[in-house]
Amino acid sequence: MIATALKWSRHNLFGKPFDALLSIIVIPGVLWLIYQSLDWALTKAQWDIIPQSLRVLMIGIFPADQAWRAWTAVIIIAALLGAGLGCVFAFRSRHAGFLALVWAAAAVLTGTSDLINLLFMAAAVAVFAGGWAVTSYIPASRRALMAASFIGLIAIFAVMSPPGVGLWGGLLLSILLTLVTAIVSLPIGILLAFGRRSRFSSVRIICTAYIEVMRSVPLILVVYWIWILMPVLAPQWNLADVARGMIGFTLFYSAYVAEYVRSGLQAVPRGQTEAARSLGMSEFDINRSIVLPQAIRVVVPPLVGNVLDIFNTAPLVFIIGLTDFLRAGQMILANPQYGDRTYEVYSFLFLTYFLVGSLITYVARKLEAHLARGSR
Amino acid sequence: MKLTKILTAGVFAGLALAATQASASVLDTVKQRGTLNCGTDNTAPGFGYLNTTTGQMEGLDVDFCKAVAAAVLGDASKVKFVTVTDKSRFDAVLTNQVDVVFAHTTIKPARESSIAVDFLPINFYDGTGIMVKADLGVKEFAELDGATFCTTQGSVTETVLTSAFKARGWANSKVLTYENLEKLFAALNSGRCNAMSTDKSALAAWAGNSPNPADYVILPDTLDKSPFAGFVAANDSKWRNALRWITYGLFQAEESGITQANLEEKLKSDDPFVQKFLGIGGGYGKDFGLSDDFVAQAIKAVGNYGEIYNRNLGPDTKMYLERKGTPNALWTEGGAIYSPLWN
Repeated sequence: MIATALKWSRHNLFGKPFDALLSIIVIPGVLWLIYQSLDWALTKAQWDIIPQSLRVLMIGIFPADQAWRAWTAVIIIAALLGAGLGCVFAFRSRHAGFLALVWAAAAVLTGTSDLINLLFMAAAVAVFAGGWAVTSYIPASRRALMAASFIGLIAIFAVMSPPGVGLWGGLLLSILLTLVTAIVSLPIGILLAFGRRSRFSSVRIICTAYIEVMRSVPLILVVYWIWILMPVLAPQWNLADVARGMIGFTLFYSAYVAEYVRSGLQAVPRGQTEAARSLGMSEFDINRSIVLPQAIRVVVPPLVGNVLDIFNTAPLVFIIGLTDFLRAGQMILANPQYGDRTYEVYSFLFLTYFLVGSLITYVARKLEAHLARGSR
Repeated sequence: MKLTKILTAGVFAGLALAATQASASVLDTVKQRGTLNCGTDNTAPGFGYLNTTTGQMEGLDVDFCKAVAAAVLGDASKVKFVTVTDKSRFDAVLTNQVDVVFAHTTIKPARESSIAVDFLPINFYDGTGIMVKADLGVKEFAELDGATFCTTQGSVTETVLTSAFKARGWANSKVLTYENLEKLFAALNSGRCNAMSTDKSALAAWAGNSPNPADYVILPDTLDKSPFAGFVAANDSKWRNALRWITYGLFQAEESGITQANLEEKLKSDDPFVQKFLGIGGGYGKDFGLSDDFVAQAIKAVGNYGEIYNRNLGPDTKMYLERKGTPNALWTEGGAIYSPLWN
């Protein structure tokens, strides 16, 4: 064991003079950093603030007695994510043990001792596994995923709305914003991508202009403009801040999705369409049954990366007064009672973002490898 | 960002102006709706923040929102807090998304001229303050000749300090600048600076959040002006005047010694002014489109100005900011909290 480790480090860390020099400089620095962080985290940090303010971090100022609504939303999200995963990775019984571990880890990390919360957490994990199993064992169910996503989103809105849309916040808001943007921007993006290749020049010009305009302005500007424009243009709708934030994000990311999808469309060999045409298929059928499935296959990994992008830019909605995960942390720190816990709260935010981010990139990498198998 | 800000503000000020002129006063809308949409910050210690234990919003600005809801609708719980940021607060009120904003906003000419909001009476006088360590034994700014002052880079405070030195002929006083407040506070603690200087409300937050707040003293002197006030969209006198006099009512209540605790007793008072002020047998409210007991309702909900101040910035809070000897004191005690004559 030790011999292997020594061999590995001699080969990888001290193989060449430059590598050795770099290692000598970097390794002690990294070790010192790790030591300092651990020393602080284990002896000095007062972590009690995290369990105390966990509800605010997770759901913002959403009323505590309505928490079941938030949990219902979490369970629907879990089902959708599980079903999405099942489309590419087959569910195996050994995964069940792993999911049980995830549940236990979540319970320990958040320091929850409330029985109801633990049960809801277990339910979410179980539903995740259920969704995963359904789409991996019944391939026909995968076709319904897009429709199911939309129904799921509507159900989430229905269950979360009664206490007031203005109360949504915390990590749940960040995730909902990400999910809505990712799901709704996909069909819009696909239409825009086809529109950009359309034979009708008017459609082509409109789609191209939309994509180029959206890609050349910053997201924060789009979100802010939608936020101030909607009440002026359509005062009778009285759209909530959350809805306007989601519209801004969706309009912006649709343009990016369109470009990813277009790159996928271009990757489909010409022979495919020509062969389909010679069989007498209509243009619509060619695009739907021949081109799009192959194009989507190519662009799934970048689209998953796009989801990570959406999640990481979600904190920008603070500009229109929404309390996303990051802002919820800042809101806790604004309480004079907790003002000296800056490092604890930001460390928790960092770790959560890091975990979610690495999970998404891991899935994207696996997906890429998985899909590449088919085209080898 | 600045240019877009000005452009958007300009365009929407025009649109909002047209909208307010065409429709009824916000006062009528609020009464019809039955809730007040009040814009506040949720990350400002002492002014607007969430008490995570109770799940309620707290702060000086939050209390003003509650007072307005109580005075207009007769129920302080009929307020909906809408979070606004430094960036969005003006557009929020100009596009009628909130009825009034209380968000530690400094009155500036451009905000009333080009952005087109109307400010309410000043409800907190902030300004550049000085904080020293308690063991230095300094009581006021005048004793700090020759001291080293620290402030943040590129802030107005630097200019304010150097001109104060010049005015007093202090040749040996120095200003050191730091990148952010955190480093500034560390420099004060390490003794590199004798005094730390920035906005008073920020000083109070830093001292209050430190492990031992008693180690620091914020001097009573205020070196320049940064008055906070609530604001509404311009050109709605009915709404603005109602809000102005609700604010004045809270000031006057303190001056007349009417508190949340003795309100019931004062309602039975035979002093004709107190009777009319609280709306017993006719009052001031009707002509504003409010109920006659609007001041009594506000006091019942949050107390008079002094009580609001003490609840959020008083000696029992972590954000303690001395009131005596500053403009935040009542005018009868030499401050600038002043209500016009009521009768």
